[in-house]
Parts: sequence; C-alpha cells; structure tokens
Amino acid sequence: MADPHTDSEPEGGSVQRREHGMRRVSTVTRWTVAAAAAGSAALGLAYTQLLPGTSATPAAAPATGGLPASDPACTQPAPAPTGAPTPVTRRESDDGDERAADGQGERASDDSEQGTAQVQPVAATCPSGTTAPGLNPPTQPPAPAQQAPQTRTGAS
Amino acid sequence: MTHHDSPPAAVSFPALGTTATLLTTKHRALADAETILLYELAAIDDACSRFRPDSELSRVNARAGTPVTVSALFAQALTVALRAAELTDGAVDPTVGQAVLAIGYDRTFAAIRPEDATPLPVARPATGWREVTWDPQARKLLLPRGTTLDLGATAKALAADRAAERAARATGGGVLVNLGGDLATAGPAPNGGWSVGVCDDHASTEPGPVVTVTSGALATSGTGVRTWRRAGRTVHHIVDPATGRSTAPHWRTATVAAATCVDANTASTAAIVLGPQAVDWLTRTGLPARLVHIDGTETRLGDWPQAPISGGHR
Repeated sequence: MADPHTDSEPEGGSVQRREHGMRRVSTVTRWTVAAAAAGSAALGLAYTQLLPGTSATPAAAPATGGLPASDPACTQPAPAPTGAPTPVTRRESDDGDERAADGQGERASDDSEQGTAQVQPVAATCPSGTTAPGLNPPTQPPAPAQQAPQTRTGAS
Repeated sequence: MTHHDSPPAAVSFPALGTTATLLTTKHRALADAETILLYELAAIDDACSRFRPDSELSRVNARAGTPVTVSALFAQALTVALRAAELTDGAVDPTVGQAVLAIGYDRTFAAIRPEDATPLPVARPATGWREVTWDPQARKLLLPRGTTLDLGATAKALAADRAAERAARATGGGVLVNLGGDLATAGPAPNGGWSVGVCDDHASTEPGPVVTVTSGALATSGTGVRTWRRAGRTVHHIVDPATGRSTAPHWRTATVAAATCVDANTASTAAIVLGPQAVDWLTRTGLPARLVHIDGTETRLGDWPQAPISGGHR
C-alpha cells in the first residue's frame, strides 16, 4: 500500500489542483472587492444627491437666508464644530479677551493660503423641512404721541 | 414695561458716516452704555466698512473666488444680509457692491462730488445672493469671482440691535440706540414709551409725526438723502439689485416697525426698491409701515397709527 505522503505521482497532481484552486479563489476575491468598491461608490453618490445640505451645485443650494429667525441657533452664527479646523488670524489687541470672546478679534483668512479644505455649500443649518419665516413684527406697534420726540427716525 | 418717569439721558456723536444717538432710562448708566455702543460701532466698522481697505469686508471682497474663513461678527453680518435677501426675494441683496461702486458710491458720501459729469458705466445687475457659497457652521465663505459684497443695508441695523441689547443687559435699564435713523430698543421703556419723530431725513429738525414705541425697532429708508448728480441725472445710494441702478423714484421715505432693527431696515429698504409693489409686499409681512410717496401722499400699513399725529411743535 503506497504512502500517500511519500508517493510522488499523487503529490504532483495535488499541487497542480491546489494552485488551480488558489487562482480561482484569487480571481473571485478580486471580483468581489471590485464589486464592493463599485457598490460603495454608487451608494455614496446616491446619498450625496439625496441628503440635504450636500448639494454640489451652489446655485441650487440657497444660502443661510432660509434659516428660521425664531431659532437662535439658525440666526446666530454657530461656533465651529469641536475639533474642526478654524484657521483664523487673531488680532493682537489690548482688549483682546473681550474681542476674542465675541469672535471679533478674528479676521478673514484665506483658506487657500492655509491649505484648508474647500468651502462646502450648505443649504441650511436648520432641520430640513423648515421654511424661512417672515420678518418679525414688534410686540407692540407704534402708538400715536403728542409729546416732543426724544429722537428721530429718517433716512440717512 | 414702563417704570421710568424722568426723561432718558442722551448722548449723540458722529459714527459710521452718520449720527449715533444713545438714550438710557438709567442716567448713571449712560457712560457704561456709551462705552458698549462705541465698542459695537468700532467692531462693526472693522468688520463691515467698505470704505476702509483694512476692514474685513475689504479683505473678503479682495479674495472673491477664493475660500476664506471669516470672523464671528462678520459671519453674523453676512447671515443677516443673506436672510434679508431671501426674505425680500433679492430686493435687498448684499452682492450689489459692484453696482454701488459703478454709480460712483466708491468712497464715503462726504467725499463724493455732488456734480459729477463722468458718464455712468453700463449697469451691472448684482451677482445674486444665491451664488454665494456660505457655510455658517465653519464660517467659510466663497464669493463668485468678481463679486463685491455690500453689507451696508443691514450691518448698521445689526450694530444698533447688538448695542441696544448688550447695553440694556449690562446696565439693567432701558436703552434706545439710533444709528442714522435705524433705531433699536432693549430693556424696559420709559413711562409712555420712547417718543420718536418720523422724518424724511434723520438729521432734520422739521416737525413731523411722532410715535411712541415700547419695544422693538424702527427703520427708515429714503431716496431724498445721499443723492448726487452723475452725468446729468440724479442718483442715490439705494440700488436695485435687478438693474444695477439707483431705484426708480416712487417712495420718498419708507418707515417700518419690527421686532429688530435688522428686520425693520430690511423691510424699509425693500420697500424703496420694490416701489409700487411695496404696498402688497409689506401688507403680506404684517409689519406696521408708513410710506411717503414722492408727491407727499402717505400710505400707512399694518398697525401703523392711522391718524396723522402732529408732534405738537409744528
């Protein structure tokens, strides 16, 4: 009875079959990876088109004017997200603390010079589906008066 | 709420090419309130002046076509301006800067020649606010190449809102800030409210209607001030973004009341630009408003006092 581990004939056929199998596995793996990458790209593109605020067409994406005024988070400039790059040039000033707290010590900085990412158009920073409210009326309308004016409104 | 019987303390001084007036119900707080106002004026001038080459606005305009990150105050001013553009369907548009420059308003008004024979260049409509790429979270702005922002229509009103709010909060009293006719109030009003004369020109001492306000803001826009002659025709500072020219004369003055000075100014400026369409538009907003036609006839809208009230000093 031949020892299968020492028989040269059967061993050579086994190696060929193993190599052939490995090539098939390798081919299937490459096709699987390629198909997965293509699928991911297609899904990503689809979500890019579907999700609000990520349009790649600035003209089609209204700027921040549509933010509800009743939502302070929409009418006030929100701080940069934690960890997000905020490349700003801080102005040296004697009252720098107060200005910095207000963000007024910062000046426009050229992102292209600092190597930061391109501006991404943002359609709105408020929940999708909200619409721009109208201009807000005063709590009390002006009332007629007989007294002397303390100040004046007029064009300037 | 009205708690104060004595007349408000007041101070006036030149600012932003016009006059700043500050009223406070707490006399002892006047100096503190004035300090806050001066700070806000300096900050808005640093950020939004288009006459200063070192302002943030000038730097931003010089980088049109390149992404920039702006300061928090500039971001607020821009956000306010873009909101105004949307709510007025572009009648008040911050991208009108090139057109404003083209009609000759390329320097402070005091420096403009009252009679300029230079022909007007071909009118250029505004780029359009929808072309501005703006990320308010990251404060990143990309202007289309060749676009010049002009935040003048709303930045002054924003300064009035900010100063009044901060001064009232700091002093605990009632405050009125009036920047060239754009006035904002905050805190408790004096007894009987703040009395405000309504004129064509904020600097006028002519008698006219007087109203009281207890909260909110008033703003007036008009075509009778900041006018000059260019190539034989009269031009003024309010430019129609759609045409790139001074708005056609229809209303002499538009005064609007709103919750904030920004909203009041947005509406009053839009009314001048919209001309005859302003009546329907203002009616839809529900804001109290007084429009004076160039022939002197008045139109009162919303809850604006209907009876002509004389100031008693006529």
